[in-house]
Parts: sequence; C-alpha cells; structure tokens
Amino acid sequence: MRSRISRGLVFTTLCLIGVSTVYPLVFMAVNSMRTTQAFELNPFGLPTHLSLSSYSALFSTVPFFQSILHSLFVVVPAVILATFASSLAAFVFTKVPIKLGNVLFWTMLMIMFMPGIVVLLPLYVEVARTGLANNFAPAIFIYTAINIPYGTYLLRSNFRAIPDSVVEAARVDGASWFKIFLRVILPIGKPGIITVGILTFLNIWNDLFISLVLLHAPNTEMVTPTLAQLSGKYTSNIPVLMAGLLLGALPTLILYFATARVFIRGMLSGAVR
Amino acid sequence: MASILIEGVSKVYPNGFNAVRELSLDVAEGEFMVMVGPSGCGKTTALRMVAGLEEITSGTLRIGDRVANHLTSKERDVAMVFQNYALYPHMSVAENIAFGLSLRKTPKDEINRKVAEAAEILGLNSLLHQKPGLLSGGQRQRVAMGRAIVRNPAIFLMDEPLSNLDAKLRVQMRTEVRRIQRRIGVATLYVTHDQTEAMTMGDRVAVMRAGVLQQCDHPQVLYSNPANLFVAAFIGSPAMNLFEATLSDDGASLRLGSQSLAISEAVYQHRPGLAAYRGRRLVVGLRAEDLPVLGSDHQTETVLKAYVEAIEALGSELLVHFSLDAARVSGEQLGGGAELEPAAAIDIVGEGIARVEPRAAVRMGEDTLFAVYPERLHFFDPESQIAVS
Repeated sequence: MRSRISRGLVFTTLCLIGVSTVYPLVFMAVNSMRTTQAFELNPFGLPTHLSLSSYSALFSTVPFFQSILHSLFVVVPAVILATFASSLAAFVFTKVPIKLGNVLFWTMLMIMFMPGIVVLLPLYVEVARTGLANNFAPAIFIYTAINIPYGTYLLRSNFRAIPDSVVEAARVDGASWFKIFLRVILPIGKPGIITVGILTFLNIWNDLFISLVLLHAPNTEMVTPTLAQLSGKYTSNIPVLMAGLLLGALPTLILYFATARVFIRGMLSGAVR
Repeated sequence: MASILIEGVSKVYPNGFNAVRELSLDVAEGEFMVMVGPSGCGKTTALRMVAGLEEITSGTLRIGDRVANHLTSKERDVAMVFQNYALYPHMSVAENIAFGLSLRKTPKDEINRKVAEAAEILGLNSLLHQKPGLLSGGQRQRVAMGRAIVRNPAIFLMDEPLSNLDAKLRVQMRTEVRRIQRRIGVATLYVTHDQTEAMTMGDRVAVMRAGVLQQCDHPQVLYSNPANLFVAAFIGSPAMNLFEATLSDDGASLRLGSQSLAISEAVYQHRPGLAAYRGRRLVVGLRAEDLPVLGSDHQTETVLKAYVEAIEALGSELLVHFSLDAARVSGEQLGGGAELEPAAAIDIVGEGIARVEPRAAVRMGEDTLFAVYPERLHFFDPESQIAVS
C-alpha cells in the first residue's frame, strides 16, 4: 500500500516537473504564431488561426541570423576549450598524485563562488583599455576561462566514480598520464563530459552581461543581446520576442536531443568486479 | 624474464603509518611466490611498490639486474592483475588485451597475432569482440590475465585475483593460473589472504604480519616447521591447536592443564633448544591430524584425555572439537601482536580440533583418549613467540 502511495507521489511530482519544463517552450511556440492583438486580448488562450508574421517581423527588425552565427562562432570553440580544460583539470585533481592538488582545487572553487557580476566592471575596464572589445578571439578565451571552474567541479565528482585501479592498470600497461587521460578517462567519462559541455553551452549561449561588455558592436553582437533589443523600455512586441526566443533556443534543443542517448547509457559497467 | 629482489624495503605513509617494515624477499626467474597474511599486513602495499604504483620509502628493489626504485611501471616492464580486474569498460576484450601493446607501438599484425595467442591460452576466442560489461566474473578474470600475459612482461604481479570468484570457480582458476604461469615461466609475486590458496599455488610462500615478513619457505616447510606462533596459527586448516603448558623441572613431562605428557629423550634430540625450557612456561602446538584416537592403530605411551564437544563428519575424516583444561592460545590474539599473558587460573577451558579417521570411536559428550606422539609436538617461546627447535 505504502509503495503505491509513494509511487503515485513520485509520478505526480515528475509530471509537474515535466509540465513546468515543457510549458514555457509550448507557450513560446504557440504565442510566436499568434498576432499581437490576439496575444494581448488573451495571453494564455489557444490560437484561433496561426500566422508567421512574427517571424518575418523578427528577421526585418534585427539581424537575427547574423547574431546566431556570431554566437556559434564564439560558443562552439569556447565550449570545446572549456570542456577539454575542465576534463583535464578534473582528471589531475582526482587521479594524478600532485602536491597541493587540494589547495589548488579549493582556490579554484573560491573563484567559482564569486558572482559573475562582480567581475563585470573590471572586465569592461580591462577590455576597453586593451582594445579587446568587439573581437571574437578574446571573447572566446574569456568565456573559456569563466567556465572552467564550474566544469572542473562537476567533472571532479564524476571522475571520482572511475575506479583508481583502472587508471593504475593503464599505468602498469605503460600509458603516460596524458595517454591515460585521452584513452581511458575521456571515453569512460564521456557522459559527464557531454553534460558539462551542454551546461557550458547553455551558460555562454544565454549569457547577456559579459556578451554586452565583450561584443557590443553590431557586426559582432551575439544572439542574446540582439534579442534583448526586441524588448523596449515602453513597448514590447511579445509574439516577435517569442519567435526570437524560440529560434534562439533551437540550437540548445538540437544539441540536447543529439546527445541525450549518451546520458541514458552508463559507460562504467564491467570495469571492475 | 627477470627475477625480483627486494632488499630491506620499507613503506611509511605521510601520516606516519608504517605499512611495510624492512621487507627482504627474492623471487627467482620462473618462480611463483605467494605473499599471504591477514588484511592490513602490508602485502598489497609491498606488491604495489614492486609495481611502481607506490613509492618506496627506503630499501632497494631490483628487477632483473636493474635497481627499479625510481623507474616507472612502464620502465619496470611489469604486468599486474588487479583484485577487481580493472578492465577498460569502453574497450572490447581484444582491445583490452591489446592496449599495452598498442601503447608500445607494436605493429598491427603482431598485436593481432599475440592477442589471438593469449585468447587461445585463456579460452577467450569467442569473446574477443564483447565489452567487459557483458562478461561473467570468471571471464573478466581471464581478460585481466590476458592483458598481463600478452606483453611478455619481465615479472607478473597479482593482487588477490581470485577473491571475487565463487568458491568452485576459484579452485578451478587456481590450477589454471599456475598452468599459465608455468607455461609463460615468468617470476610471479601473488598476494592473497587465503592460506589455502597460498599453500596450493606457491612454489614458496611468504607469510606477512603487521608489515613484517614472518617466514618465507616452501609450503610444506611452513606447515611442518613454522618459525613462530603466528605462522603456526595462520597456516593450516584447521589451525594448529596451541595451548599453554609447563615443562617439568627434570624435563621428563609436560604439564598441560591437569594432565601430564611424557617427554622422552628423543624429543630433546629432535629439538635441542627445548632443554632450556625445563621448569618454564611455553606454548605447545598440536596439528589436528597428529591427534588420532587411541586404539589398535595408534598405541602410544603418551595420551591426552579431552572432552568431545562436537563432531563434524566430512566423509573422508572427522573433525573432532574437543576441550581440555589448558589455556588456549588463539590466532586472533597473535594477529593483534599482543603479548601472551600467563594463564590466570587452572580451571580455564581450552578448545581444540582433532582430525581423525571416519571410523574412529568417538562420541559427542564423552571423554576421549587421543594418542600423542611427543616428537610431533611444536614448542614456542611464550614471550618471543619464536619456535623452539
């Protein structure tokens, strides 16, 4: 009896979480295809007839596709660099016996606990003075650096689950530390690494403040600041904004569905025992 | 192929724990050396130092004619089988076995040939393309062995490789591991906590306790001439019966509880050191099989009367659990390294086990007379715990 009740409870909770996750997407999709008048009369109503006028309005108001390209141009290399660096750091912190490893790790964590907004002003001053603004390469490296601590933190607990004896077996087999990282840790840790990659992608893709500081000229602007322009101080065209947000979220969704399979399958089975 | 020479090697961890103390051991080319001892005795640490996974605090390790203290595992050219197998879960069986070779830039066709050869020896042919996750415990164990033998290493190290298998498979794999090792002919250091495994597999067996090597010899020597109380209690199943006793002033009899066993001149010739214990306390040891029931087959001057508590019938033999009024010295007491206290009172009950013929006349709940052959008795100094010989 108890198990049926608790299972029902779990099921209900999961349903609620599911709805709360999917609803915003549905809300965006539905309202992006309604006219402004229809939305303002009844924001939560169902569409009577669908129109794509918001999308054409979006493309004519802001350089949407260009901003998507800018974003991809920054985000993809930054995600690859940050994820690789985080994996390497997490590997060293968990598997390589180094002096002061823990001190280094906690120092890094302290940096992570500092709110990002705190570095915004110094970052702006520094970027303005050195003339690195509106330039993709510095932006890539700054985003990489900002995202390394969190990724390292997540992957450290992930790599801890990899048995030390597997690493030791590779050492006895004659692998160097870097070979162990490339050929043992990376493949085994793939699910965690991909998770960190997606989270890093989300972090950078959705970032507004740092992107405003680093890339604010129209010919370098990323997607989030571009969409922010749609929301005016006094007036906002909500359906157009919805269309922009939905299209802006599309790369993230594609990335998620493309990699979802990896999360489900555990990579560790059969290593030990 | 090479020999292993461990000379006065110690391991002290940063927290001050001294895991291995002044260990000296040599493993000849092709020899199968088993290190055995209770958990925490330092045997695995010693093995890991040889493997290059643990730094050596002091002492010298030689592999072949090279000092190996500061060589990496790769340079030492060792192969190791881990207790939990430690297979690479993302690689197929063939890739697991080939990993070490591919790191050494061995040509592809040579790798294939060697992997096929190893798979043949281990009976893994049909599993080469499986991932370890799909294999049974015994099969994983074989893959771990395959990974070790494929490289033709200088030495073999095995850390309790059979302890995760079920009892039947373990017995079967014992023979198999020995067969493979003989075929490869590589010096092997094998760690286990199971004394039966040690006795059945080892060319020689090294008994460790609290980081100190107790005795290293052929299994039969360890059994019949244990160097000290610890080895006597550890080696053999059932364990040796150990009781506190006192040798009479004239040395003609041994007082065991309320009984007295005659000690003839022959015993003193066999163990000359015993003379020094006249009138002193010592520990006497009796192997279970050296206590037959007194009868037509066994007629001795010296007899031991004991109360039969229980009988375990094993078919080919009976294990008779008996008790007598002498203080027993237990293996647990020894494991902790505690000093033996003198028996406080005479009414102490000590328990022991005798291994007798299935048709022997014993009955539960009765006093039984056991034949004692005094020259088969073992004697130990109660303070130093060293065997009297």
